Parts: sequence; C-alpha cells; structure tokens
Amino acid sequence: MSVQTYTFGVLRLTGKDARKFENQLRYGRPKQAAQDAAARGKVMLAKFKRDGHVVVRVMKRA
Amino acid sequence: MAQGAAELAIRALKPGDDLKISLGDRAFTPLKTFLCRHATPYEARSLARTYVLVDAECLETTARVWGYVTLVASEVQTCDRVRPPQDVHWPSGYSVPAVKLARMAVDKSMRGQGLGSQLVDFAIAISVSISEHVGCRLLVTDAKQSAVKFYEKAGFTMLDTPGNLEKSAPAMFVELPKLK
Repeated sequence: MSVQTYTFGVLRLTGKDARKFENQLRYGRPKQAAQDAAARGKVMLAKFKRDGHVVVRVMKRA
Repeated sequence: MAQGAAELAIRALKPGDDLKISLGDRAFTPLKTFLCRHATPYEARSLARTYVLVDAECLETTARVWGYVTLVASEVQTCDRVRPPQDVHWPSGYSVPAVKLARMAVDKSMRGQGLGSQLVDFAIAISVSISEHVGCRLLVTDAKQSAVKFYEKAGFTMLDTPGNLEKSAPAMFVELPKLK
C-alpha cells in the first residue's frame, strides 16, 4: 500500500490506501463544514466573477 | 492590517505584483519560493491559477501580496485492481478527476484574521463551479501536519489510512458533488 503525491500533479494510491479511499468516497457523508465553506465561497465567487475581485473580511486577532 | 489599508481583496495574480511574502518559518520556504519564482510563469503558461490577497485599494495596479492560493488540475489514481464506483462502468485502473489546492500561504503579519479560511472557501467554490461544467469529483490537498486541523475545520476529509496519516503532508479531500 502507498500514498504517492506530486504537488502539481497526481495523487496515486495503492493497496489498502486505495481501498480505504474508495470506501470513503462510496460511503462518506458530506461534512457540514464543507457545505458551509462552499456556501460562503459561492457568494465570494459570484462577486469575483462580477467584479474581478472580492473583498474579504479581516477579523480582529483574538 | 496591511499597513493602514482598510480592506483586503482576492483577485487574480498580476505580472509585477510584489511577491516578497514573509512566512517566518523555514518549513514554509517552498511556499515562498513558489510564489516568488514560479507562480507568475505558471500563470502565463496556464499550468496553475493563483489568486492573491492584496489591499483593496490596489485592485487595478500591481500590489503587495499578503497571501495566496494556487489551484491546478489533478487526479487521484488508484491501482491494484480497486473497483470503480458501484454501478459505474469504468475501465480498469480508473482515475478520479480532481482539482488540487497545490499551494496556500498567508503573510505572518496577517495570520489569525480568518484570511486563510476565506482563501479555502474561495478555492472550494471555484472547484464546485468547475465540477458543474467538467467531470471533476474532488478537491484534494497535501496538508502539512501543522495545518491538518485547519483543513478539517474547512471541511476537508483525511484519507484515513496509517500510511497517509504518517506522512509529513497527508492527503485530504473534499467531495464536490456532495456540496451542490
């Protein structure tokens, strides 16, 4: 089994890693955090497509 | 703040942008090197797309870059006769098309303000948008161990195998069709 990855290219999986990946794709549920991120990003992307940029929120450091 | 600027914005990398980002740790040198030396030629040759954080007042001009994210086309190859998704006819040795979040960094003076999270939100949305027009199932990244929690919080899933978890930059992914 192995996980071989190239920064600007392919992610190659064999053996147990490949089987686990397949199972995670087949049975995995979408994470709420990913759905929230996609929803926020969708708003940003719409502004980016319209204006060529999107202004971002700068939070105060804790 | 970015030296008095009221707001920051994400826009595409422009030739001539000031790319001398300060990351503050040798472990991040490849991220700095990529931005300084390779991001612009990769952009020109369509090998990668880089989106940068700049002062919002510098949108039409070249500007100091405070952070960036770079996306490339990728794929996940599985070998060893792993079967394709259920009920889908697919040749043996199939690949899963993907977008790769190849590089991301925020200047050390700007960290802790939610900017990295917003770059990831933006990258996820671009990937979802691509997947609506081109067969593309995943957004993948190689997350440094120190960044794994950050990516989990952003919605990425760890490839949960011992071999992957031991890596200095384990593979993580977001499944795009499940976000539509």
